[in-house]
Amino acid sequence: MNALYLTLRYLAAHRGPSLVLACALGLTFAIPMGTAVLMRAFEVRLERRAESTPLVIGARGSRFDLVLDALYFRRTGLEPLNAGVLEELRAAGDDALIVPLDVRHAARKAPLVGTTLDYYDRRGLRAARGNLPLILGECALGAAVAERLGLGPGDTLFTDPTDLYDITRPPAIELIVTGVLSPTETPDDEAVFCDLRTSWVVDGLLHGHESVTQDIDPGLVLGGDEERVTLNASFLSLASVDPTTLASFHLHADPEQLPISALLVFPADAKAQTLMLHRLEVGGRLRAVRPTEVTAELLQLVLRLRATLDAVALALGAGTLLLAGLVLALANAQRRGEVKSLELLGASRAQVRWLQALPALAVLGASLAGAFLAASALNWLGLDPTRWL
Amino acid sequence: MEPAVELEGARLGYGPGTFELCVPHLRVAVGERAALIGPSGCGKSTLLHAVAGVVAPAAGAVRVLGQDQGTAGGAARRRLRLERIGLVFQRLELIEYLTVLDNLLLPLRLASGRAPGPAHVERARTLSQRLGLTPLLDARPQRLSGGERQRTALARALVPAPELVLADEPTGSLDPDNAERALQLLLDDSAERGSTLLVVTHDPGQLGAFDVVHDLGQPSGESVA
Repeated sequence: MNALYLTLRYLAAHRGPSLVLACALGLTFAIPMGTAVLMRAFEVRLERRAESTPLVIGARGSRFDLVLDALYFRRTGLEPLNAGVLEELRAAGDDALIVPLDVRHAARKAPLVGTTLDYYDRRGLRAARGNLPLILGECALGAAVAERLGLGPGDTLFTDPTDLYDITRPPAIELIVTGVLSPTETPDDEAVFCDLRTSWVVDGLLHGHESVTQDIDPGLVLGGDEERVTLNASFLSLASVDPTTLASFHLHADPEQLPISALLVFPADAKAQTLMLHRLEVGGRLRAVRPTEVTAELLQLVLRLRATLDAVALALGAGTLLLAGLVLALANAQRRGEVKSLELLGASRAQVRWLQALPALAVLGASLAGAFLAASALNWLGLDPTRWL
Repeated sequence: MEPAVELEGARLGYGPGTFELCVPHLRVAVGERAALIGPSGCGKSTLLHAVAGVVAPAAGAVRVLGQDQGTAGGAARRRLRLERIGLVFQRLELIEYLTVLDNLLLPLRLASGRAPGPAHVERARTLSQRLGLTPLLDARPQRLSGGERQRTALARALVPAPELVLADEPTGSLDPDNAERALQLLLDDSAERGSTLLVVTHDPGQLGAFDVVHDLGQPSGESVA
């Protein structure tokens, strides 16, 4: 108690240098501890997401891009599949649920995920407020997106333009928010969900406009014949879907050629999964991957990177500790006069040594405690490092 | 009655090859107020250090408060110094990061390992008042003048109410008024508590206030007044 009091007086008298030293040491300890916490969170979340998705099917290309697209909605630019593949697979009679995903678009910078109701069912997604999107032009917001944008059921949001500088590209589409999903601490919290056909509306493949045969402004008509009418650029496609315009939306393209980013496959059992994988490998046209295997590979890469970072942190830490040791040695050299005074007054050698060591131990303890608190806070905040993928 | 301090044929110094002082005989009775004089370099401070147990005698006997400092180990000498002797060092030996009040209470903290009790704090405040240190109790020594530092060191020696007070030129840096006040405090405190006082001084004007004066310049080192 007495030594602690004297130590506190010493540290108070030298608070500036003590604080700087504690901060330097604290950072040295906090960086590897924080990295370990984030790495663990990264690993757990990556594995959890992968384990909840047995198979992903996409066009041939990078398996990493496919998994990042299908599980994390990262819009990597992977070549899309044709919607016809979905019908082919369903027709093959595999005992599996196949859920299509289109993640090529965004709304207010959040990924816009076109899918079917099976997706919500499989991911355990429920509407915390409002309802799930059922018809064209509706959307549901992930919990984090709703909070960030301050939107709820009844509000609207625009999709991000597909190309700002190309006027031939379809305009942004106004989506009606029908619900907000419960938080799941997965990438689903960061996405906007809509029906798969709504994605095709954003593409302009499915679109709506006024009838060109009735009550049209004659000034818009440039020419035409019995089967085709040519209109000028003032004639615009509809930029929103509502009950009055819903019926006017139609498709000009071949339904089997419509784009899909990936297919999530939930086989009924391991046997069905193996059979399906084998058949797809033989076919060679598609790529089917087990997300657990791909994420394991990804984790190996990250762990190798982490080992390098740890080595750097260790070298920096050793340097900092050496410098701290030098600072403490210099501080003790400066205390020679004090040591002599204490000995002259009658302090024992043990007391003197203890009084010399305690400030160093206090600084070390404070820096370790600070690093531990920072790492705990990081853990408590529940940061999702998979967002940085 | 056994004297508080007794030296017999003592050879005192800081090790081989250094200055050595020989004291054939010196005796300070319990409750006596003694002055120690002599020319510079004659070994007055060395004698005080030997009495305080900072150094052990090379030969002869140095008996202090019943303990033979020649045969006692370092730990026993330190304990005696800390618990029963009040010291005013020539270089004052204040701890710069502690306030004046903390410096005054430091020997008590070192001796007991605990925070000093209210009675000791009160005694520290009373002594500070008598030495004009009250406004400076929360200041650190680096802010004090030479005289204020000396008075702080003097008060520190008296706060634990020791049986023996050893003071090495305790008024050397003080103006005449403060020197008078400080010396009077030393003498009064000794008289009030019956403690023994051994003071090194160069001021001939102060000698009359002591019961006995030992002159180390004399061949025998014996008392001259």
